[in-house]
Amino acid sequence: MENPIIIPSILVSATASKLRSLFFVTALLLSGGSAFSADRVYQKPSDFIRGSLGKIPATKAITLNATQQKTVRAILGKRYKTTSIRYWSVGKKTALILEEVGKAEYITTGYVVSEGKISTVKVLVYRETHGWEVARPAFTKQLEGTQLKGGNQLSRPVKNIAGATLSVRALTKLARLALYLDSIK
Amino acid sequence: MRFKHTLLAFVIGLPASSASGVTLEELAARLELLENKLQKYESRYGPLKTPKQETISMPESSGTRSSVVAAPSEGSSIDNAFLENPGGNRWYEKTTIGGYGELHLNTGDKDQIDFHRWVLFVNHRFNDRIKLFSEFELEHSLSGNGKPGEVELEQAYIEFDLDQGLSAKAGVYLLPLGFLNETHEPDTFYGVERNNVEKNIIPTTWWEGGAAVSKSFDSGLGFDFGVHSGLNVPTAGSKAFSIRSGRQKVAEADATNWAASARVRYAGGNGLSVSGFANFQSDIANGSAEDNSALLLGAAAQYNSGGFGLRALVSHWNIDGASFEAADADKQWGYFVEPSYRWSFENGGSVGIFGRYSSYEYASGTRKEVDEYTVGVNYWPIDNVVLKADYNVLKEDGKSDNNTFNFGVGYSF
Repeated sequence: MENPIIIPSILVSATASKLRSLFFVTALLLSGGSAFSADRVYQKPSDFIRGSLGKIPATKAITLNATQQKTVRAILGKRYKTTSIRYWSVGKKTALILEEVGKAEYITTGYVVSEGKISTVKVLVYRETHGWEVARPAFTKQLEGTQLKGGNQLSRPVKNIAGATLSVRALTKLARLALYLDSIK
Repeated sequence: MRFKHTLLAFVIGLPASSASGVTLEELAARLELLENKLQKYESRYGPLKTPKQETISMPESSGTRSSVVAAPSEGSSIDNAFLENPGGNRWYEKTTIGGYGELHLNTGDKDQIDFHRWVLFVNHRFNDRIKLFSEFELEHSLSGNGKPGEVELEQAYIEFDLDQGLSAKAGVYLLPLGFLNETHEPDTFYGVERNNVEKNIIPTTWWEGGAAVSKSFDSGLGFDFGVHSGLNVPTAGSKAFSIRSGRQKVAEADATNWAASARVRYAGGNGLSVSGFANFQSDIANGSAEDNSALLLGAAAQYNSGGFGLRALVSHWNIDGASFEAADADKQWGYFVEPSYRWSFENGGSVGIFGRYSSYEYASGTRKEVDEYTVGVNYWPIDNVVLKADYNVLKEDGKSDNNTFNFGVGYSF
């Protein structure tokens, strides 16, 4: 029986040697370099702070003590990359820029917390090929309005995205961390 | 200025006419130079007492320490701090390891315990644009001649990140087909064993050598396309016409024929993710003299809302050639539907229950028509560790039912 799907003739006529050539040409083209940055920079961190708070106030830092580090470890399942974490505050709003690994690369995410609730979430820099869907407002919006309940858990569950499980986990953990840090600053 | 000179001379204990030959004017000039440098440094990185790299040691006090570390309006220094890759640029910071593993106990019609998979990922970031990904796997604990397991290189490719959302890769990679082929860490799916539809039809886990490009858009749409080595399905013997047995695993594999994979996917952000995928084989069975071009078409959908989850997948092979037709192996297909519900606890753990109905028809020596019913539970004490239990009834036409209780423990990091 003939295959009902029409395959482009250039592909059908490809032989193994042509295929090998294609690999090499592709590899050469790719290694030749691109002028573009590899990372997806959705928003500059300074623009995020200015946009969320109206200005860039003085940079402050929370230095975690031993007990607080233990809580942070419970939230993330490991230590945060530093024991001193920067934040910016204007009135009741606090902006934090937090970083956590999705599968192999760090995701840089901005959070704004106001009166114990997350009011804004924005992925600022995404560095991995997979899981980029978490940067979409349709995903980050569901973290907005959440607050901490017992055990430093979010007040409502976050919907998973097939193929982006690790990135969803990373952003959810950072949301919990942002709320916790705001509560102890 | 004169006061400054006098003070300086007093402080450093030098006589006004220095014996070392350095005049007060020269010292003052050097001091001014230092002051200027310090001002420039502080305007860029903040006060000198606060290092840019935050390596402050753990304090002993129990209260929160919160301090101002930089003056307002230093947008560029904030950007510099976060736009650089936080992973660091020392060689050991550019190399990361990860892995997963799963132990299975099957009881009932068969009793068997098996450390099914032990996997190590080794990744390296050469620079922000060129990266290595590799996956090394030991299956069934023991490999060697006559032993049950295998040592496998499932992934080893170089990824080139070209532009926002566009990337390419070359090497050995997992084909973008179905749910489990690319993402199969045990803590990411329900059931002790991977589902038999993806295992026997797609066939998961399936990797080939070649090149591929991926493009994703902020709208939630993503495309993948790759050209790669193909299957070589046996046409004789106990595994005749079994697509799964056609995997050559890029091990001195026959490269006479070629193949291509494509996927389009969409994540709505409202909990719905859907994908359509295809694989074309220019000749799926090198051993036969006839043309056996083949096409796999499939679709997968996942929906999550609160604790509720639903996964569904369908896949269908259409294979040309009289030998496949004669063996009733020219059409091999299957689907499954898997509803689930997951409860999360305050201690960070969660429990999920699921049910799965699978129906599939495939060839392996003879044609097999199977219906499967599975119910089970996953318990995650933390996100990366899972304990599993399920009950599986496998009904194959012409055979008695196969009932199995399965238990498993798995992890990923």
